[in-house]
Amino acid sequence: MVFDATPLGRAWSLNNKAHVTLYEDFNENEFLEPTPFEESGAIKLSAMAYWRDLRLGSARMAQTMLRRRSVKIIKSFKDDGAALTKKNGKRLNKDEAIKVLQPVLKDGSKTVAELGAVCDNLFEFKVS
Amino acid sequence: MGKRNRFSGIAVVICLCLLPLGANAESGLDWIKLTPELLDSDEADFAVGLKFEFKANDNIIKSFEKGTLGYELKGEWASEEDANTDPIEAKVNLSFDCLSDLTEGDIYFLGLLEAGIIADDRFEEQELEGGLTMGVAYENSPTFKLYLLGHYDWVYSCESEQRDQLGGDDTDDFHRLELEALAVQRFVRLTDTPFIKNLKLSGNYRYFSQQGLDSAVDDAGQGSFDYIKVDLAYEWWPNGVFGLIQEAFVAYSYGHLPTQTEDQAVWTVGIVLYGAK
Repeated sequence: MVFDATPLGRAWSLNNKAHVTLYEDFNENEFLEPTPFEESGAIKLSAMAYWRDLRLGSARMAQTMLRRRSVKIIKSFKDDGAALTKKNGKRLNKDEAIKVLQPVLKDGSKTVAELGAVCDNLFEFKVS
Repeated sequence: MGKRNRFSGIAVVICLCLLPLGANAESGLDWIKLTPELLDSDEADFAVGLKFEFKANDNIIKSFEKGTLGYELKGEWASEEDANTDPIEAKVNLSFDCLSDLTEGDIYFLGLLEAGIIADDRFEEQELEGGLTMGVAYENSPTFKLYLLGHYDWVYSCESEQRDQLGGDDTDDFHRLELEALAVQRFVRLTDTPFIKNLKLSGNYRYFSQQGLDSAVDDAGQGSFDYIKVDLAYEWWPNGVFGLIQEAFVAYSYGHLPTQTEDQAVWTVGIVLYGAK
């Protein structure tokens, strides 16, 4: 299989399963139009459907929406066979993962690729 | 909406939401909104104001195994007195995740304890607030989303002289139940018709019930009050116009929030700017 190089290089790559898992989740739930993988990494989170909806309700509603989005990402990775990474020999739990993801998801200036890098550090896929 | 002391003011607000262009999280601001405002009422007065609005990121001071200690800053300033202006708030939050095992599905819980200071040009108060939030969500891709939120908390507030002049006591000690519903309908993926597919319609309804209240709001005969907002937006994806304008929206809201003393009808027209790439 031949993969085309992306402008972001290894920072956003089809060879990275974490990036692909995040792309598939966002392609289904967040992108408002069909978006090729290669182009998606450079798009800021402020363009995602979830982020644009944060201004529509109360601050408390936005907070719970962000929390829910974090949980959905964790679930997507879990469904793809990933486990949370280990820290000091102990595997992170879901609460700790939410605390990593939520501030990034809230920051609209971050790109999809930057979120992908966070996910890459947060999840481990079993080697088949 | 229930019977209450109707406020006849109608405000037309033109919003320019300036999200931190080219900035990053280190800027400390989520977004800044400059709002030239036209305010009119039955008394035929007419005012033009400028609002400055800021919202800071939630900042985490310390994380525990089952909770987080953090703080937040947010607020709004208007050159003209305006009951619709959100007050300046500084809060310390202590949130608990002890119920997070139940967050896997579409029902989630969130424990939240907050303490902070709220101040604006009508009254100042220091508020201690603790409560539990519970939410339910249904999301059908980006096309349709429905969120229901219930929040119950206990509020203890100490007020300043300004609020005393409005008829309130020095302190309030009351319970507040808040119910909120947010529905978002996008037409993208439902139609290929230009213009229509870029539309987003949302409705936000908030109901508040306060008991044990002895304040200016209570003196106005209101133990409960509500707020509704309908927002119609046109979204550009992903680069926007000039790479900046991501949304143009028009919104109508009616009612009042706990931080306000009376109902207001507000029309808001605005654009959201944010560098997409």
